[in-house]
Amino acid sequence: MAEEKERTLRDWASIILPRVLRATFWGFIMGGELLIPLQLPSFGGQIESLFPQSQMSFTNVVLIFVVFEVAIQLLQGTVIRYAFSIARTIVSMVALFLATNGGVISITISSSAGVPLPPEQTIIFTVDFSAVLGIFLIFSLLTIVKNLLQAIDFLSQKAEEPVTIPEFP
Amino acid sequence: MNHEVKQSIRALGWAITLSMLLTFAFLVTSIYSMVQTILEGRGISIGEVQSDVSNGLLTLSIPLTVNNTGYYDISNFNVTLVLKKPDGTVISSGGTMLPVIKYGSTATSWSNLTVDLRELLSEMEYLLFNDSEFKLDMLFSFRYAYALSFQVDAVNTTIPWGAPLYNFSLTGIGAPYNITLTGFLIDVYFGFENHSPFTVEGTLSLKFYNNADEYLGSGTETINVPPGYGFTGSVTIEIENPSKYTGSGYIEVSFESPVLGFLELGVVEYG
Repeated sequence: MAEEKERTLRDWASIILPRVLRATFWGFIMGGELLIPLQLPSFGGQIESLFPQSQMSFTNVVLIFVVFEVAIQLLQGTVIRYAFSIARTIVSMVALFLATNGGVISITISSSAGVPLPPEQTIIFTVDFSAVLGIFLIFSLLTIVKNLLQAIDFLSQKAEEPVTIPEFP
Repeated sequence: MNHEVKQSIRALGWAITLSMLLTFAFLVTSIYSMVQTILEGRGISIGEVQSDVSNGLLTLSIPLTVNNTGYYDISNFNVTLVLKKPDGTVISSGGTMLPVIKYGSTATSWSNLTVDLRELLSEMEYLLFNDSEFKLDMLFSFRYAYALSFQVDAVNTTIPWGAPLYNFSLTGIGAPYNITLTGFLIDVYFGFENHSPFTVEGTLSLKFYNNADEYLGSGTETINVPPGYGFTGSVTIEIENPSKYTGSGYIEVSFESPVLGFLELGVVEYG
């Protein structure tokens, strides 16, 4: 049996660097690109104003999603990846529920500078998409089930791999 | 774990991803379509308000047209109107409901607001003589694509009120004429503008008193003033007891009409 070679810095770099690059790429694709316009006061302010003043802002929801995605990609090939996937789904469910106020969003437009409304008039728009949010949450629960099955599959695969028993000197 | 289970997990993953994308696409298109219909297509519009007065009740009929130019049906379209006094007290409320407006079709609903003019004017006498404004709260609620609920609450929309006897005044008193031992006649001139949406029709009554509170005589005049018109005229008073006429005193003015009922308009001094 061949003796295991000790990994050099070059070996570690060849393992870590692709993961970091992949994590950066997927982090950008899975929400990172949204963070750039959200940081702009003109655009970000408008987007944030659409969401109710709840415990969770839209930027925070995106940020949490991106952090989890980066962690999942960095831990590719380990079972912790699935644990992070499940945690991301649960946190996203809670964050989405809080950010959208349970699927009911109200926007109040008052007569002020730049708004063509008569004085004292107020218009309140309320959108109730709780039914659609419910569907999203059900899909999220199914995603948790899928991640659990993937984790079990991963562990069973690992269990089936041949174990190299070190020889006694 | 065998290959079939791995394939099943992958299929479940794709099914979830595809379903989420479809649901998200539905959410985006329905919100976009609704916003386009309401804001750019002016899908919800209020037509010309029609008014009708009978038996002292003013009925305002407000037409609401919904032109559904979007991709999905609108259902359970409810309209609620609340008419309020300037201080916020509710005068009248009404509403209507359209069960379904299919995409590409137009529907109109009429909402009626009934105002008891006699009751209103007895409580708010200044509305007889002064233009004012009421507040209207409009509440629209509807379901879009049978999945999303929308509610638009337009609060404090101003509704102008035109006074039926705007600027009512006695403009002058003529010299006595047809003088006999038993009495004489005297003309009292008056004028006003009808700013209200209904015809001011009825009998104006004047009672003449001297400065010792003694009744001298009275006169009436029938008037008919359409909306938006001014009126100037006179009431001939028949003074029954010329010896009590002192040249000064006061006149009690009242008006009786089928729409407004009997109204004490007040007291005007003369002389």
